[in-house]
Amino acid sequence: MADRRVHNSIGERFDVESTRHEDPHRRLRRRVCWGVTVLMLAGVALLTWNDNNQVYQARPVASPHRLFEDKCEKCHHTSFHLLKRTVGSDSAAFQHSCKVCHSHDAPDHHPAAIATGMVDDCTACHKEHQGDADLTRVTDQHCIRCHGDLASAGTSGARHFSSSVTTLADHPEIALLRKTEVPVSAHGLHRVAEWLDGQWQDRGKLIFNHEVHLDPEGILVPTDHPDYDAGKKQQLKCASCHQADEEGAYMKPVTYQQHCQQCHQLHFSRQLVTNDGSLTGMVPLPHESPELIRGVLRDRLMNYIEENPGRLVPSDDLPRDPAKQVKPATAEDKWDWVEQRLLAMEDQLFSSGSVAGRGDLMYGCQRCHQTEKQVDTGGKVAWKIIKPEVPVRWLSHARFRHDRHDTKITLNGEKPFSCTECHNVNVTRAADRSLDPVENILASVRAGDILMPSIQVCRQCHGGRLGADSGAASDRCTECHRYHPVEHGGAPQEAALLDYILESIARKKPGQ
Amino acid sequence: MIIDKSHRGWALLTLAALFLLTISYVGYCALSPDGPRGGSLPGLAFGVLAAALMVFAGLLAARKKAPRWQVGSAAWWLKGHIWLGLLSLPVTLFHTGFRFGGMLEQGLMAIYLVVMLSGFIGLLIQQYVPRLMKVTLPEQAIFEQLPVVTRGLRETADDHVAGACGSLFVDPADEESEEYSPQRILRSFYLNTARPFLAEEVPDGSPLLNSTQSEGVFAQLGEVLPEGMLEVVREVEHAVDERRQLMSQLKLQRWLHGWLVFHVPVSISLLVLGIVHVATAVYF
Amino acid sequence: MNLRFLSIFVALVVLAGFSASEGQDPVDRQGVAQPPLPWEVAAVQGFRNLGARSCSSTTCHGSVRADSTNDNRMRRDEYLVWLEEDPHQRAHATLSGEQSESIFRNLGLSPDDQRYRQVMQKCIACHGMPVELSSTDSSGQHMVYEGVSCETCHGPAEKWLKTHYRTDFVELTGAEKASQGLFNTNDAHQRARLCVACHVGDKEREVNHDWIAAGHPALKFELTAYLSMMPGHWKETRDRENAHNPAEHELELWLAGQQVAADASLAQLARRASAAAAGQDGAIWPEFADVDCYSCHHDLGAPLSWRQKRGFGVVQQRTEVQRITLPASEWYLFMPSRLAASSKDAAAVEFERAWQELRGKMAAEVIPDDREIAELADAARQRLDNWLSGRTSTADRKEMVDMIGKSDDPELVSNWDRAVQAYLALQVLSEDRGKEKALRQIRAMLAFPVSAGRQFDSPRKFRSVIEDIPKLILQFQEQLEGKQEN
Repeated sequence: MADRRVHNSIGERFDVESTRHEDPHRRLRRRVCWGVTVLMLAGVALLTWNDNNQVYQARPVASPHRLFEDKCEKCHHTSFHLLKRTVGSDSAAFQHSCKVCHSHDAPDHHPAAIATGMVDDCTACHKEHQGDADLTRVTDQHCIRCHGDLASAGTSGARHFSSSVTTLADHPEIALLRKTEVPVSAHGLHRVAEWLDGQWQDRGKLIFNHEVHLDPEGILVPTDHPDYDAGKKQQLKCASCHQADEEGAYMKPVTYQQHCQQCHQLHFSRQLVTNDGSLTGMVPLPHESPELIRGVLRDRLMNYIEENPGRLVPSDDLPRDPAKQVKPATAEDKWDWVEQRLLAMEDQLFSSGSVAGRGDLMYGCQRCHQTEKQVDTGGKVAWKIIKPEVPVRWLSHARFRHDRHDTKITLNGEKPFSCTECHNVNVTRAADRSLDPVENILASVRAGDILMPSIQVCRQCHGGRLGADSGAASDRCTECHRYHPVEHGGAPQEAALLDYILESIARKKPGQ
Repeated sequence: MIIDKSHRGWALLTLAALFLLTISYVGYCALSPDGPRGGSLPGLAFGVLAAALMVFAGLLAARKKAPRWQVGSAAWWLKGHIWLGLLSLPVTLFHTGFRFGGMLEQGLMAIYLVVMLSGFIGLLIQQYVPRLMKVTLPEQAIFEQLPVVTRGLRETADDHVAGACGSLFVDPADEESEEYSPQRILRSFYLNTARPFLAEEVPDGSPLLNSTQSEGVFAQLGEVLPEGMLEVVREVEHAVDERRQLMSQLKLQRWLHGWLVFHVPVSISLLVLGIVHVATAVYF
Repeated sequence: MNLRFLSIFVALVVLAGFSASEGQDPVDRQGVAQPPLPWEVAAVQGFRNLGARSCSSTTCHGSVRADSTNDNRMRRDEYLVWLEEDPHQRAHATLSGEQSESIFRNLGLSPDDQRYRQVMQKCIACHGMPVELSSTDSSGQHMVYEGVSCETCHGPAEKWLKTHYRTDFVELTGAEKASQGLFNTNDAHQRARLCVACHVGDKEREVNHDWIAAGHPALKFELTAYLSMMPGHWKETRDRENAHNPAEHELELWLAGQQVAADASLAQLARRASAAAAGQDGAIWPEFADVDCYSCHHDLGAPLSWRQKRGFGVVQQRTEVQRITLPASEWYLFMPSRLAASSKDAAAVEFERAWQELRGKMAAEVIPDDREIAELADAARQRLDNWLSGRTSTADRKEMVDMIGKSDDPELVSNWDRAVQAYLALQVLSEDRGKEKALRQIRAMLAFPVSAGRQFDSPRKFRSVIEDIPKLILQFQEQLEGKQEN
């Protein structure tokens, strides 16, 4: 519409000063901006009063670390870590802070990985500030990062290991059961096994035969067993000797006192028959070192000869054949007799291996133990029992819980687990659990047999998915593997923990 | 600013950038064992990019304040502000890995979303309100001049009515008489109804607020007044109409200007908190 | 003879006759298709020996305490009895002892000689388990050192170790068990075969005079005597229960021992004579081990020893100076011969005749004709087998007493071998486990002197006791009769 206004004066129609005045909106904006800025800064300042850095936390820390959550410097030792890490100068900043509590000397999986920068520090795998998450839950990707193509990951020890493992399905057989010698360090496999006669064998120096002990028809109760009766049999099972610890995770060591003594009492001679027909030899020897045994034997022999001095002279029981001589007594006196018998008995108890004239007769201590004879320069003989050192924990870098694989577990109404379902000498069975294993523990006659389950056994249930060839139990790397060795990592050190507790108590005085 | 064909370049650029960034994010997610995190290198890169985009967006204000800096036209900056600002949203989400962190980060994210939302609303306002105004408010005036124009309208109307009625002042003797002369009617109407409407502050209950009602009022007035005064009535009606348009214009322009009062401070708070976030993330 | 004495045992004879015929393994009595001995099983059928260790489990045969609750069960401490008391366990150890070393020295062999090893293998044939029959495990070598161990007598355990205690195995017959490699040691005849193979000799095992001269004890074996000296790793009661004739278990053993030993001795003589006749390398003829020891090894009294004066009861001495002859050893054949002589059985007479013929030919010349001796030995062996296979397996008391005959029979104690065999027969008849005073006195007279320093191989003064022993035998017989009457 045409402008109908009739005023001519621009001054009357136009406010020429308006450009000089600030737009009220702008003014308002500006004021509000300043107000907001101040408000924000004040708000942040208020929230971070008293060194309360919680507002800056990306997320809360895991609950085990909540004790010192408000003290960022407990872990964040260095400032400007992000910048330093970005330029590559401080990539392992958290190593030290973690190790304050979590063991000073926990060697990691392979120090070489840290040396070559594949793994920077603890935070390479354990991410904090994820809220109340399980810090030990490390995804498979962390492992596969190197183990998916170990050759390229390229550290010196890599060639001894399988070059590509990405899932449980392509996981190699456990080293213990492999047919070729794996030249790993003494730290690992060699702790429990040694390579002999073309296979890995238990390095425990004990002689034991599973087949005899687990006879399905039972074994005769020994004559000196409290429950002895002629013909009475006793059926031993795995659980007769192998009992789980309190947690149920691993098996307690098999001990002589608990598991062997009732049947294998340490008698040393049936020849010391006293006049009343009792056998001095029937009181068992203590399960002790040869030095102690020597003392006990000497004592008993002396007691015997004191009570039966007639043994010093040849018996008047003549052999029927007149051509046969009776061996004259060779002992001059009691001491002589004792010493002679002592030497002979020790020889019988401890000599192992083939001895000319007697052979490997498994009598006395050598029935189960390997022994060593030491002769000093004076010709004095001493015996030594080679420490059995039966490995208590196999696969010590792994974690396993027997109670979760309990014999009471049934899977969809199928028959429950028994020990021999997993623990077999060789497993060639199909995935169908109803088939018997080709060989099982009942056929193991040597203590050197390694009766650990093959990885195929594990795969039957641990496949991560339900399917024709596996079950849906978790197949995460960390389900079994531990990155940090058992005896090193783990529970935090008490001293450091105590410090934190005391600090947090000190800060929170009563009434605050 | 109207989103029209001239934005095509920016739109394509933004889409292309989004596509590439999405691919890189997906790749980054797949390769990181613990998933995407703000503190990882790619995450940091996304964060830096998002911050740069936000800073660029914020520089629009600086550009407006410094018209002499011919580093691209204001329109160009505004387009950049819009499109790169839009791009900053996915980039920010890529930086966070679609997670929302602690207190500071959550606050930051909330403010950011408010900024984006207000920006989007502003964009919508900018799209439709000017056209609306152009169509519905032909009698526009320069915003800052509105009081002057209003005064001008009032004075013009005053003149017209004074010419027709002799004077605007009310004679008390006339008031007492029962004679309703046309002048008196006109004058009375003008002083009681129309003139207040032409003031700076319009009374709320005024019948002239509504255009249909106003038309009716003036039509009614036209019937009672002699023909000679009809022109004056039309003049006054015209002024009232214009006044009404100016009122609408004011309202709409308040929207046009006002949303920034929300958008800018919130952006400032975003900037402040963003700086705090970067500082603490870098420091710790 | 005392008729009362006679009558009491008629019933026993009848009983013995009936019971003896039950449950006999027919192959035992025919002299053919005898069950293979343990080492034959191992060699032929390839069953492996697993070593004494495999028997030694504490819950099986390696317990220290014998079972005293049930006489029908095994002792449980068999392994330890063997290990601690049985001389068989030390059999291999002996080979490295002083005496063995001396034997080898006397044979002119040092460990470096190749022949040393060959000879040692022959020693091991009796003193241990030959390596090739041992388990093929890496520890198989060690079984040699076990001496005469479980499987040497009971058979290679490979097939029956894990089954022999299960009910279904226990109920098998002796022959079925033997087919698995578990030798039937319950049968007296089979048991005798086991012992005789080493203690007398067989195709692979012999001790000849060269070895005896070098120091190896002469092999004079009698089953019951040796069983009594061996610490038994079985329960007497159970052993008796398993015998063919539990009442006369020891007699049964005695007769089985005599038969098998005599057979082996004749076989050995025939083998040696045949080898010499065939001109085999290393064959020695005459083999002095088949000759009575004391026909040469006697004191040389002046002017003639009493032996020379007495003569050897074979050829009538025509002149004062006796001819030098080498009479056959009577150790193994005296008792069967005497038994045959007192028997009316035609087969017995045949055997006796054959034996006397052989004996005559052996004594006729210093070096008898080898071929002839071989034939005669074979014939005597055949007749022995005919006779003893055709009669009941058990000797009976009456026969034995008859055989011993009158105490004044000069034939009974005319030499040491005869005297000792008679003494041992009396031991079998003894009611008091040989503790009768008479028997002890007889033993004292027959025994070799005892010395810590050296070993003696003959009695001190046989001549002086030759008159006293018959008196003691009479005393013993009276004692026996007296007991029977009471």
